[in-house]
Amino acid sequence: MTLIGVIYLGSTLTLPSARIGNPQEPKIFPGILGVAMVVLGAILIFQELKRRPVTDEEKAKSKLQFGATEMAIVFTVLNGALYTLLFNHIGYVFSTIVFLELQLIIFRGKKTWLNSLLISVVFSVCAFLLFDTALGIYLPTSALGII
Amino acid sequence: MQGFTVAGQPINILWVTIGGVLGTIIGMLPGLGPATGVAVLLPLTFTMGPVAALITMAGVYYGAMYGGSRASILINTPGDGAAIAATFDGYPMAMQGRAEHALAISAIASFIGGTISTVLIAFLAVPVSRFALKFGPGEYFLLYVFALTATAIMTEGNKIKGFVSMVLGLMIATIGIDMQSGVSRFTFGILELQGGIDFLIVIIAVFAFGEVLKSFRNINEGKKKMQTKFGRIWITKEEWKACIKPMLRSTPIGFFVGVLPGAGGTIASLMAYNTEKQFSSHPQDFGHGAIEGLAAPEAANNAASVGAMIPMLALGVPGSGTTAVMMGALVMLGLQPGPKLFTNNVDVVWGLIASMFIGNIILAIINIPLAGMLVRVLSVPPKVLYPLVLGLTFIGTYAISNSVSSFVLLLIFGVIGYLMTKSDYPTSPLVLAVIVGNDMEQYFRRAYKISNGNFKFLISSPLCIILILLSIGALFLPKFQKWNKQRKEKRQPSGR
Repeated sequence: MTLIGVIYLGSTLTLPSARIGNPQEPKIFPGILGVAMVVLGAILIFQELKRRPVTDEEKAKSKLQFGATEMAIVFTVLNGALYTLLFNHIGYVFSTIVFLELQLIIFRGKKTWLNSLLISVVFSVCAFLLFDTALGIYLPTSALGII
Repeated sequence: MQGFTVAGQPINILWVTIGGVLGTIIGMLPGLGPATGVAVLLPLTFTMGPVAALITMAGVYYGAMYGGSRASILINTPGDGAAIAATFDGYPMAMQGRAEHALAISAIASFIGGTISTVLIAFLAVPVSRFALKFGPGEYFLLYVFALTATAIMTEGNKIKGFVSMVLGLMIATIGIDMQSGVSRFTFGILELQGGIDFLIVIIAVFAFGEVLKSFRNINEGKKKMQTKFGRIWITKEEWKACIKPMLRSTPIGFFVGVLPGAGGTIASLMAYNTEKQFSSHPQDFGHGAIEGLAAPEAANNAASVGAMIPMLALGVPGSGTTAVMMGALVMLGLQPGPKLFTNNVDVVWGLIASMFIGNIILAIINIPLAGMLVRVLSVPPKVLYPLVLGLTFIGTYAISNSVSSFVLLLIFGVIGYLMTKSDYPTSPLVLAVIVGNDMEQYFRRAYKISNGNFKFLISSPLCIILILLSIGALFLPKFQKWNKQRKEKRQPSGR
C-alpha cells in the first residue's frame, strides 16, 4: 500500500519538473505517464478500500516484518555498498573476495568461514581470468599490478 | 541457406554449447529463469562479434528452458514460470522412481517442440517482416502499446499492478537527456544519470539481484532431498508412443501463443497441459505421473520461446521478458531489430535461426546423457550458489558500464525488484517498459510531429485502428476468460 503513495509522488513529479526552452514536447510523454500513474494509483487505493473487511491475519501480514530475512537483505545491500567503495581502490579480485566472503557468511553463517573464503578466492580469481584475460573486459587491478 | 555455414563454424558451435550449458545451470536454479540467465551471461558476449554473441545467447535461452524443467522434476521447484507445468506430472514421476524417464521425455519433447518451431520460424519470419514494413511511426507506437498492455494484462494477480509496473518502467525510461530537445529530464543534477539508465542494468538488477534477495526466504526453509544417482536416461517404447501425439499437438499451440506479445512459455505450457488432459483417455492420471502430462507442456514451452522470437526479430517488439532482454542485446550490438534487420543484416538472422536449430540438437545431446552430471549442480547448496550469482551480477554490471556508480543502480533496482515482488507487483512489465520505453516515445513524437501536433494520427490508418482494437481486446481478455470458464463449469458440475 505504501508503494502506491510513492508512485503518486512519482507521478506528480513527472508533471512540473521538465522545464524546457522548446515547445512543450519533452513534457508530453512523461505527462501522459504521470496522469496514468495517478489514475492507476487511485484505482488501487479504491480496490483496497473495497476489500476493507480485514481479518486479523491480514493485519499481521501487512505490518512491515523485520525478521531474519530482512536483516539479511539489509546486510547484503550494505555489503554491496562496501564492494562499491572498495572496488576501484583494491582492484577487482580482492574486493570481490571480500564481498563474496561476507556474502557467504550472510548466507551460511560464521562457522563455515574458512570454506567460504576458499570459495571466494577461487571464484574471484577464475572470474578475473575469464573476464579480464580471456574476454578482454577491463577490470580494475590492485596495487599489486597484475591482479 | 548460408545461415548454416555461419552457424556451423566450429567456434560458434562451441559458443552455443557453452551458452547452453551455462544457461541450463542457471535455468535449473530455483527462481532464476531464462531471463536471468540471459541477463547475467549477457556481458560475456560483449567482446564477441554480433553473430557469436547472438548464437551464445540463443544457447543460453534454450539451455535455460531445458534447465528450468530439471529442477521442476527433481525437486518440485520450477526454475521459472514456464516450468511450473512440468511439476504437475514430472515430480510425481520422480517420486515414483521414474525420474530418468521424466528427464528424458522432457528433453525429447523440448527438442521436438523447439525443432519444429525453428522450421516454422524460418518460413514465417520473412513474410512477417514484409508485413511489418507497412508500419509507420504511429503504428509502431500503438504496437508497443499493445505489447505492453498484453504483458501487463497477462500477469497473474492484480492487473492494475501490472500496469503500474509498466508505467513505472516507462518513467524510468524517460530519465536522462531528451534526445530531440536536449533537455535533461529527471536527472536531479546527477551526472551519471544524464545518459539515462542502461536497461541492461535494470534487467540484471531486477531479474537477478532481486531474485536472489527473494530467495532468502526460501533458503532457510530447508533443502529438498534429491536423487543424485541416475540410471540410463531414456524412455520405453510405450511411453514414446503415448507421447508422440501430445507433443505434436502441443507444439503449434506453444508456437502461436509464443508469437503473441505478452504471452509466453508459462501460458503456452499451461494451455498445452490442459488441452492434453482433455484429449486424453485417462485424464485422472494427470497430476499423478502421466507422462503425457510432462511431454505436452515441455514441447509447448520450447515452441513458445522460439515463437516469441518472431515479433522480436521481425517487428522489433519483444514477445516476452526474455526476448526483451535478447532484443536489448541486439540493440547493443548495433543491430536494429525489425524489418530492416532482414534487409541489412540478413546473415545475422539466418545465422541465428540456424544456430537455434543446431543449439536445439546440441542441447538435446547434452541433456540426455549429461543430465545426471548437470543435475549435480542442484545438490550444491543454494547458500553457496546464490552469493556467486550475486558476484556475477556485479561483474556483469561493471562489464556493461565500466563504472562503479552503476553498482549503486544495481543495488537500488535490485531492492526495488525485491520490494515489488514482495508486494505482488509483477516485474516483467517494468523491465519490458524500460527496454522499449525510449523507442516508444520516439515513435510517438515522430508521429505527433508528422501530423503537426494533432493526436489524430492515432487513428489515421487501418493498421492503427486494428492495433487499438487489439489493445482494448487484450484489456478485456481476462474478463472474457473468466466468463468462459464459468460457462464451462456450469456444464460440467462434476468438476475435474
